[in-house]
Amino acid sequence: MGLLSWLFGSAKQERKRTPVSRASRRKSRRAERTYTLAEMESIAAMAKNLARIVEESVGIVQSSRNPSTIESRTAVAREKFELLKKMNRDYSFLILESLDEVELTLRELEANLERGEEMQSEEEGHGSAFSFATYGLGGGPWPDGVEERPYKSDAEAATAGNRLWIGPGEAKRIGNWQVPGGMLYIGKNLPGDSLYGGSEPSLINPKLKTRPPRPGSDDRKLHYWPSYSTISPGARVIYLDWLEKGRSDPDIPLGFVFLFFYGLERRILLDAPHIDRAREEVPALIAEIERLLTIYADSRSFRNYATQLLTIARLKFTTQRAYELPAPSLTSRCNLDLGLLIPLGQLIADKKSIPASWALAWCIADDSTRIRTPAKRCPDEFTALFAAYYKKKFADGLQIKPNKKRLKRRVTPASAGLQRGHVLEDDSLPDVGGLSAPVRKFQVLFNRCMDDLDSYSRLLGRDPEAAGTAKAFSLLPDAIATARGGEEVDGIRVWADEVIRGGGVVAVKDAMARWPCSKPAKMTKREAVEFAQCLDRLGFGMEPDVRFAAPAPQQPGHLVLFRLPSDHPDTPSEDYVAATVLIHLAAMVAAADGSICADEKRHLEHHIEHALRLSVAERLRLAAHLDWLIKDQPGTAGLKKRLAQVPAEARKAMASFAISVAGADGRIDPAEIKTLRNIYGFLSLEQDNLYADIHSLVTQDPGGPATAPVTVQASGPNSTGFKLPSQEEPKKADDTKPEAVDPQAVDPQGIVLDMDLVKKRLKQTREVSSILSSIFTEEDAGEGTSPTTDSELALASPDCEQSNLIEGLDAAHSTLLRALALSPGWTAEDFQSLVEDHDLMPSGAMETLNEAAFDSFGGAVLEGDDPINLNDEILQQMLS
Amino acid sequence: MSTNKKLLPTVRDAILQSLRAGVVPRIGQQHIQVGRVGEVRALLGDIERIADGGSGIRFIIGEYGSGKTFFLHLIRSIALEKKLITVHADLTPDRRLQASGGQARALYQELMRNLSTRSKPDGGALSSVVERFVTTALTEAKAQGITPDAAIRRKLADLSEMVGGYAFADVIAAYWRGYDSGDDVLRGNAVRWLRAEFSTKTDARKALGVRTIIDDASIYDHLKLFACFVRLAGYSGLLVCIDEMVNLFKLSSGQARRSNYEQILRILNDSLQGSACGMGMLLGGTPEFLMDPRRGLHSYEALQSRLAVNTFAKKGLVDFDGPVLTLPNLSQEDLFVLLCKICKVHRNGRDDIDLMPDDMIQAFMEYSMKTVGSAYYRTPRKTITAFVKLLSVLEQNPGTNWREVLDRDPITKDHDPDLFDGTEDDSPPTSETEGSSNDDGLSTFKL
Repeated sequence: MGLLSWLFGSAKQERKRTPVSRASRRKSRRAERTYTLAEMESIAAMAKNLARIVEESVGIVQSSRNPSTIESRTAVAREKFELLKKMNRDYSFLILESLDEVELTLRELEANLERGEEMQSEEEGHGSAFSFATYGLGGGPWPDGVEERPYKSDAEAATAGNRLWIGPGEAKRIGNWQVPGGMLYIGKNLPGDSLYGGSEPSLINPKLKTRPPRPGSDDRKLHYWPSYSTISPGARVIYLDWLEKGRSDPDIPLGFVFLFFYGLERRILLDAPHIDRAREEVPALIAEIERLLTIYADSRSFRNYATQLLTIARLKFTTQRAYELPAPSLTSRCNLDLGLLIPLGQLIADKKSIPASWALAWCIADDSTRIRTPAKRCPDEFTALFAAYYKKKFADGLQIKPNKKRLKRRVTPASAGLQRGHVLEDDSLPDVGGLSAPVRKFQVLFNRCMDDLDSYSRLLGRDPEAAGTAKAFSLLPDAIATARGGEEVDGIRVWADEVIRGGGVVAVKDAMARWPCSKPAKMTKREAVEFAQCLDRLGFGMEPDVRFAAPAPQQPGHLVLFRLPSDHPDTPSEDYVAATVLIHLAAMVAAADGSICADEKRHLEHHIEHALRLSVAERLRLAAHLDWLIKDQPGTAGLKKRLAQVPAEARKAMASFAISVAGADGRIDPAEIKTLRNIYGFLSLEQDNLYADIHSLVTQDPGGPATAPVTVQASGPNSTGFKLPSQEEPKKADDTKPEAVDPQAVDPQGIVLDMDLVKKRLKQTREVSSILSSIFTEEDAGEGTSPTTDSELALASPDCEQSNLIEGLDAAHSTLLRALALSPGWTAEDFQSLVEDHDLMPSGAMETLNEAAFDSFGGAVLEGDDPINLNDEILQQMLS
Repeated sequence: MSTNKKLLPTVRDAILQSLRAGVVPRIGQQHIQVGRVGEVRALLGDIERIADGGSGIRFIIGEYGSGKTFFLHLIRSIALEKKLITVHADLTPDRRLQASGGQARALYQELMRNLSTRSKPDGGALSSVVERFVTTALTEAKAQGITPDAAIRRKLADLSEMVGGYAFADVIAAYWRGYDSGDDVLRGNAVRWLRAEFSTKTDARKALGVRTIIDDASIYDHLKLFACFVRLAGYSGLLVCIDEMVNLFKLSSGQARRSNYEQILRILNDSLQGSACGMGMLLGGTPEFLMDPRRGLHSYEALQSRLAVNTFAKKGLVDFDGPVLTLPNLSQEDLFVLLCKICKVHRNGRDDIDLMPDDMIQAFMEYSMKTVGSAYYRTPRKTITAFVKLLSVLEQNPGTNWREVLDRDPITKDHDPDLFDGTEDDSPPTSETEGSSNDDGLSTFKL
């Protein structure tokens, strides 16, 4: 078989699921620490090295006849193998295949050693000439082996093989088996072209014993490097059966496939360069290998060897460029060796850009690429996504400048019979193996693909049937979603179109009928996100949208659908969140009086359009959000959380806006005030300030009440913008709402007076002064008296002589005043008796006299209570 | 008053002394009124309507310090000038519109104690009004040859239709009898009755022979009665000013609040329907008194719709016709103009000395803002008292640089304590503004 292939597992779960070996299963149960990528790489390199040593040692032991070599090499192999097993146990990320087979082989070798037997099972001729085995394009030096090469030259080896080769299509009878298809070496003796001699492993010697396999025997188990000559008679029967039945039983242990493959390998690598007939057969051989690959591609080991052989065959014997063939897919991952190096090198040499499929193959073959579940579970979507991203990023593909290093690789055939230093060298091809820059670029895309497919992959993980449903559609990344809708998706598109034509509002129930949900009453958050994404993909937005800080839709409620503009954000901006809170609060206020009237709605919409700093898409969304708020009038759940992000001064502004909304219909209803109180609680503002704030908003009017009534629009920019206009109009904020200013925040620079306003105030003050002075100074005497008094007095003194009367007084009071005028001051007692002498009452007389004095001359004539003094100035005026 | 005219020295002193003491001047408010043309016009209209026999009610709503009290006093002096009788009182925990434990009667007593006429603007004019009525009745009696008692009865015949009107006529007649017969006790009892100082009917019956008294339940009826009476006495009408309505809001008993609000509703309905002739009501309160949905006027449903805040957002003029009149707070510019006017009053026509140029007023405001702190924004009281004091210091110490005076450290330089004691203490102003009644508060300055 092949080398101990290794890889590093990237994720734990992946490791657990990969059926590798008992050892690895055991180890997966252990608690593990995590390793950095660098650590894993160096450990993997160590393991790789050990595996190579074991492999080489076993090869040497198997093919050597020198006892001391065998002994020492067996010991080395065992030692290194133990180390490998230990590593396999210790490092869970390390996955070693074929450990069991190697173990088996080793044990056998050791047993043989103990028995002192020679490993050599058959007598085989061995060539004496030591020569460089070169295959095709140059060759590597024959390593310093102990053994000699069995053939003098490649040509000799080719000729020897050719003699025993059964060409493609030739049926051949082997014992009781009628084997169709040919492509086999059949004969008694054919030395392998291995470093250490030995027979060609694929050679079928019809003389060897066959016996039907016994049940329970180990016949189906082959050693690591099987050879027809050394396998058990039962195994030979299994092999021949397989051959007879067309080499297509998928359940055959892979060792038998390899046994056959060794022959193809020898034919192509050894015979074809020298034998014309062999060269002509190459296309048929290629076809056969491709056929085998379709059946046995599951084995990474087989895949690697087969692909390598195919690539070499094509390179050497056909004109086809390797990259014209389909690149290996995700499911047929290869190592980064010749199977990839050649096509990639050719692409670069031909100055072609790397197509997405080869970029992907390159990427996944690279050791440092970690392939996570999304890529494995949905390879189709992944490949499409990668192609889409690749196209977006590199357009037609990344063009790589050829590097200087030429392609030169040691070819390691699978067959033990060909174990020597084949080297493939091609001066026309750059060696991309050492390039890391392009791979890194691909890996960025690769990782992004995996991330973007994550949720989709999880859905498929939960429900493998979900592929193609609307739900799956909603989780697909945008780049590949459009092409992957289904009937269900089309249904939703038509439905949403209809809803929007009908005004955009639709019952949640209706939506849930189209979107399967786990609970009947409401969508879960995840379901709502998926639904929103699905709509999003179809060009619709919905509110409430949990992605935009809204609650999940629930019954009985409504959704508002709207058309999204092409460039819309997927996540809410900070401003947007604040705006939703603002609108929410405002809508609560507006609805508090039982209905949201047109004025209030217009006010809100106007605010959305003009006052908030939002993008077009956000405004559209917010308008839909408002429609939803109006329709459903949801409670305050979740508001508090959103409010936490809003700074204090913005909360203040929100409160002002809420008040302005309450008043948008011309009156602040007590129910609205109640709601406002709650909102103040929400905003963590002092509830007792509410009335002051309403009051100040009501009276807010820098221009004076009579000339510039407050309009809501005017108050908008001042009081509701989130960025307070501290720079432009600091004084205005001070002036109009002084109580709103935090004293700590007062600009220590002092007061800036708005002189225009002062002038305005002065003007108003003059106005009010003139009004007041017209009231308080009725200089134009007599006429100022009220009609009531006049008529009463006239009635009271109809028969008095006009000439004796003092203006505004009747006869009795006129006489009294004249009497009083005799003295500048009177004591209360004197005053009383004097008044009584005139048949009057003191308080009443004083009041009447003063009243008349006020009417005519703007002042009282009698002052004080005791003594009572006469105001001379006014007295003289009255008497005159 | 024309701005060039000299004030009477008494008026000037009264204004300045009141301001210095931090209270609203009783006279001469018109000299320091700033702005508020619309409000003044609206109330002037009200007063003229009352003088014509109509009725009116206004809720003057403003923050602490927005000038409610000042405004009320201004309107009151306008009313006096218009030959109205005014009565005014602050509500307190012991004085309410409606009560059963004598608190309403206490309010009535307070109102009557503060009964003012133009010639007696400081209150105590009850007997003047009664005697003036009696005098006219006597004159009539003499002219028509009937007994004074009959003349009084005849003049008061209209009143007997009203609640308590018959007893009222009896009491006025008793006053005359007491005066006529020199029975001061009888006359005093009559005045006591009019002031609602009888607490039991028995006492009243013994003293005056009347069967009813003015009690908690009937004070509003008697106010209406009194309004008619003053018109008969030759006055234009009665203006009732009640301040500190917030005391109703503060009542802890929901029942008590409710009954008071019911009373307000009755007054409101009477006024709006015009059934209270010649009587106007001015009720001063804070926004929370009006708007609080649990304890304010709005908690009483029938008042909600009548008094909903409606003064903005109709894209026309601010509404001065509704029963609620909102007073905005004093802005910086208003304060500036006010200080200018105080300066002018202080100078009183003497153009030779200008103690406070405009830029100094501004500097003073800044100083005051820093010193007084947050109260500066709530009420100008402290700023104004300090300003008046500063003016008098400057007047008495000619040549002193005002900047020096301002720059002096108020705490270390205690040889000039007068100047700063108004601005020094931060805590008293706040507590005072909020805790004490605003009765006399300068906080009532406003546009």
